[in-house]
Formats: sequence, C-alpha cells, structure tokens
Amino acid sequence: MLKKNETEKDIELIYNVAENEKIDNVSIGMMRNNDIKSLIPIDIVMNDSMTEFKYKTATIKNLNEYLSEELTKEELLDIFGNICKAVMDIEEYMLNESQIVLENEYIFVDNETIKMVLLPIYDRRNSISIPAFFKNLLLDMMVKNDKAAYFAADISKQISEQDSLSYDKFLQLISELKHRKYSEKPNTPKTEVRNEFKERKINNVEEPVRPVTPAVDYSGYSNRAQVPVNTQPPVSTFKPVNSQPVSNVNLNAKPAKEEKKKGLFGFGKSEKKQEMTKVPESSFNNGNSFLIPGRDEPVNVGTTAQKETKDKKKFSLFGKKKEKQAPKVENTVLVSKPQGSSFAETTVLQSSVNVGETTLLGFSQNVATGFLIWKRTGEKILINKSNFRIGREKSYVDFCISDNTSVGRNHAEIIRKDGSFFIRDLKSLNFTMVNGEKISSTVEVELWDNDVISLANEEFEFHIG
Amino acid sequence: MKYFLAAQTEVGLKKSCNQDSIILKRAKFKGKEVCLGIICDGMGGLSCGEFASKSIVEAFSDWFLYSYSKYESIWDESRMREDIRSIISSENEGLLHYGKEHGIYLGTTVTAFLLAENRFFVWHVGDSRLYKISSSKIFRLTNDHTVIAKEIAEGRLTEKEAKKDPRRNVLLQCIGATSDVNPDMFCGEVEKGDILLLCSDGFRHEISEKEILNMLLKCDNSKFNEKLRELIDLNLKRKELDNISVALVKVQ
Repeated sequence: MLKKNETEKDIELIYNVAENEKIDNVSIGMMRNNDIKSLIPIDIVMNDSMTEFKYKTATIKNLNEYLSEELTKEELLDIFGNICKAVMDIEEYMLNESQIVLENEYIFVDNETIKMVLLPIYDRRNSISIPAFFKNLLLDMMVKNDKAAYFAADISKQISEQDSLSYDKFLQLISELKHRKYSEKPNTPKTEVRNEFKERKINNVEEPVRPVTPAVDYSGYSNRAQVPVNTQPPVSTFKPVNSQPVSNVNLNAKPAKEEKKKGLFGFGKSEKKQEMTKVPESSFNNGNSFLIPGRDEPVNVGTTAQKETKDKKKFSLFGKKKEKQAPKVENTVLVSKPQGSSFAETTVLQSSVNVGETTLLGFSQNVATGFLIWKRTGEKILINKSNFRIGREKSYVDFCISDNTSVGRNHAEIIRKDGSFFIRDLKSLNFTMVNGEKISSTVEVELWDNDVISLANEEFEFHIG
Repeated sequence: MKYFLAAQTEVGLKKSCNQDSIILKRAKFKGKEVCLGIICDGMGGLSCGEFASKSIVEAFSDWFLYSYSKYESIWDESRMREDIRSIISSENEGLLHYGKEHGIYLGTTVTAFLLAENRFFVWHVGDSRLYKISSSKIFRLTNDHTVIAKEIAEGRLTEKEAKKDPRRNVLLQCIGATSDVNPDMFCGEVEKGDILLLCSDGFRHEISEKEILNMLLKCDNSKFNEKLRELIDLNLKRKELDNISVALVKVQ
C-alpha cells in the first residue's frame, strides 16, 4: 500500500494518491492544525501529475516488529488498549476511523504510544473493520507469544459479542485482564497453547463389557447422564434370579464411542474455526492449512495430525503407573473347594479385573505437574499421582475433605494422561463442576490451567506448572 | 406407626474377625417415623471384609443423615433409586480402587431398606437376606445373587443338593469385587404387626425359616434381642462357622 523509502537518517512511507481518489482536505486541515499524538505526521507533496502522502517514521517499530519481542501479558494487552485509545483520540478530532490504515505494518509503537497512519482520502473504506482487525491481531499475538493465551478467550468473546465494538467496554476489559492474577512461569515450554479455538478433550469413560445374552433380572442400571448404559425395567421381587454371571474376564473392553461430545463445553464452536482461516494471507500458502498457535509453520490438516498422534502413543506407553505384579489375593477367584469341609469362604465368580496384570515401569518424559489451590484454606495440593482422588473417605482418596458432608466419600478423580489432565466425577450425589458447568460421571473432562473445579460446594483452582 | 428395633451379631466359631456390619436407625422426619436398616457381609482376608462392609454401611448412613433428610417428602422413590444407585456405583468404584492400590481383594454384600410409615424401599446385592413376617407367615423378599440360586431357579439343582454343593458360597456379584454392580431394588408395604428382618448368610444356613418364624411370632417387643440371640446360639450349636448377624424392625 505504501512505499518505503529508506535514507540514512530516516524511514519514509509514501502513498501515491490514485487518479480516482479524492483528497479529503478537511482531514488534512485537522491533521495540520493539530498535534495529534496518535498519528504519524503527514506531508503532502504535489506534483503535476500526482499527489503523495509522506510519513516519516524514523526508527520506531511497527506492530509486527514489536510483537516479535518478548512481551509480557500486560504489554500485549496494552497494545489493544493503546490502539483503542489511539482510535478514540483520532475520532475526537472529527477524523474518520475508516481513513486509518489498519495493518500491523503501518501501526507503530513509540514507547507506550501507538501511532497510526491516516490516509486523507474522501470516502475511503477499510477492507477490514476494527473488531476484525483486533481478531487478527489476537491471532498474530498467539502465534508469536505464549502469553496471549491467557486472555485470548476473553478478548475474542467481547469482540464477537456485538456488531460494533464499544471502546469503553473494551478498555474496561483490558484493564480487568491486566489485573487478573494468573500463575505465571516465564518460559514454560508448553506443548499446546490453550486458546479458544482448541476444544477441551472430553473422553467417554470406558464401560466394561457386558455379557451379550440379555440379563433378564437385575433392575436396570441406568446412570443419570447422557450415555444410558443399560436401561432395563425393574423386575418383580419374587421371580427367581435368572442371569448370566457378570463376567469381567474379557479385558479388551471395547471403548465406548470415542467421539468427543462437542456440546458439553462451550469453547471452540465451528464458527470460530472458520475464523482461523482468515489469517492474513502472508501467513500461509495453502488454503487447507491453518496456523496452530505455538508453531511457526502452517499445518496441513490430515497428514501431520496423524504423525502427532503417533508420537503421542509412544509416550503414553511409558506413562503408565507401575503396579505390583502379583497382588495378594486372599480369596481364590475360582470355585473349587475340598468336598469334605462344610466351611467355605464366600467368593465371587470371575472377579477382579486386574489381578496379575503386567505393566511397564512408569517413565514419563516432560511430566506436567498439576496442583490445586483449595479456595477455602488457600492450601496448595499437589497432584502427585496419575489417578488422584478427592473425597470424604480417607481410605478411598488421596486428598481428604473430612468436614464437609456435602462432599461425597468418593467424589472425584483427576487423571493425568499424556501430559494432559482430566477430571471425572465418581458418581457423587452433589456433583462435580468445572467452571460452573456440571460434568457427567460418564465422561472425563480435560482440565486447563486456571479452571475452577467444584466438588459439591468446595471450590478449587486447578493449575499446571 | 411406631418402630421397634433389635439387632444381634456374632463373630462365630471360626473367624477371628467379624466382617458383618449392621445399622439400624430410626428418625422422625416431617412428623413421620422413618427407619433405615442395613446389613453388609464383607469378604476379603484379614480385616478387609470388615472395612468393605463398614464402608457401605457408613455410605448409606451418611445418605440417610445428609441427603435423605433434605428430601421434600419422606417418600420419593425415583430420587431414592437414583441416589442409591449412585452410591452403590461410587462405593463399588472406591473399593475396587482401594483393592487395586493395596493389591488386595475385598467386597461386601448389602441388603437394606428405608422404611417410611408403611412403605419400604429395598436395595440388595449379594446373599444376605430380607424377610418379612406377616400374618403368621414368613416371606423371603430378596433373591440370593449366588451361583446355586441361579442353578436352582433354572432347575439344575435342588435345594437339598445345594446344601452340599461346593459352590454354595459363590456370589455372582457383590460391591467392590466387580466393576459392574446391578442392585435389585423394589418396594413393599407393611402393616401394623409386621416384622422386617435382615440377616447375613451365616444366620440362615443351619436354621430353618420356620424356626425363625416360631421364635419371633408372638414375641414381646422387649424380648426381641433375647430371641435373636437364641437363634444365633442355635446356629452356633449347629456348627455354623461364619459370622452371624441379624437385625429386625417391628411395625406397630
């Protein structure tokens, strides 16, 4: 759009006014007669044939250059705030926002101030609206900087909410976000950056295989959540029991429907995914690829994704907890007892799934550590197991809440799998919630940094790091 | 409606520890009498069975105290069904996990009722039993979740043969041993004069239902504990080796 002219002392941007373009003299007047801090001063040069707008930018960085620096979360948020303020400032001079060039290359950061380029062309229209520009800016930030992940969802939400962005509200949000506390660790290598475009993983809890022959008798065991497992009508009491023994010997339980339940957690709906492909064209070559924040190169959907899961599988093998090879079995599993004895231990047919199971020694690389902060006491609780349980019965759990009767004896479990954390409700009566949303006991819901977990009315903050 | 409660338990001739757990609780809820009765027969070596049966009994006791007490009415069958199912599932999972973590194998039966005025709601897993004594007759209300009960029901075994069958103590399911538990749940009604009786399998191997009936029929309310003790002694006399437990509530 503008030519760059580099001299020894200075850098100059030059805009050639086209023939069909009409110069807006009112704007020029405004700019000349006022010292508008948010604008790069304009020089108009007229020749016989054409007019040029010239802007001296000296050595100040444009937005692209500035974003490449190691910026803090506050500095990133300030970019939004300052652009907003700059636009508001410019508008106060009765200048038209549509004449401001909304491109990173032509927005400059001079210490804390944002300086923009205004093209005083009559009836000029920007190819992009300010909210859309902010969205793209957010994307750019996320590509270049981990910290953008902290506020991405909040900003994106507000930008999308209304047709026209309210600057005041936006500034308020920025201020709020700046003051919000996050547990921050500089230079934390993250394998995946959390952002609103990524969906929380929700896994169905594997249900054990049931015998194929229909069990006529036992009252239907339907759980209360979305996946009805086995709904059978209750049977009249006095009929003889008539069923197959419940067999759990088949350890190759077919995983129940691996599809993710998209509706359960609101993040990342399909419309947002479309937004991703609107990333400025310079960032990707191919219409089918998209940027994954944290990676510099665009990714082709399909092939690379497969590779990634393969890599993950390799690590999951090493992530298993070491288990005792031969657990003590007090009662024999099988039936036969010496005939002569009238005294026989009660035993259960075909019981206990994991007797004698061999597992690999746990050796996890890059073990992510998770911890909880118990809001009631401020206590920090380290999640030091791959299956970490919380509840009121101390023998069942790894962290015991003994004085709240609303918390279930065996309330919830936090699972660490392949560097990610999931939470599962263990059929508590008073529910488990993540960020205020109740989770079903048939699913494992992925936990993200800063999530608020509630077990009945006990709240915890979950953190990774 | 008024409820009279009695319960007795005995470690038995052979075992070093009593793995049965009983709870009988009576309360006034919304001006009406309600009663909770639970019997759990634990299994698993050392004191694991005791831990298992105690856990389940506590879980339901908690439910009675903290959840049932918040119900809108004394009788809400669908909510009870849902709560109890959740508790069984949750406890089952808890015990399974405990077993896995400690490399042990433990479990428990549960036979229980919630009696509210003249209606009762029952939940049952295993081979402990619930009887009802009414109109001078004794009725077994629960089905044993045992291999032999199944064999008998399917006509492959007679009652007599079952007594000597080496599999007579093998359960089809119990809480804490299998990842899947399907409790029997049903309702019933009582009239004044009826008795609901819970017992572990040690109580009823060596004595007949008729003997139980005769002992308790026409029994003075204040003598129930005595009579139950007599029945236990009868079992011991007949060399019952297992833990022996029994609990009853009489409605008047």
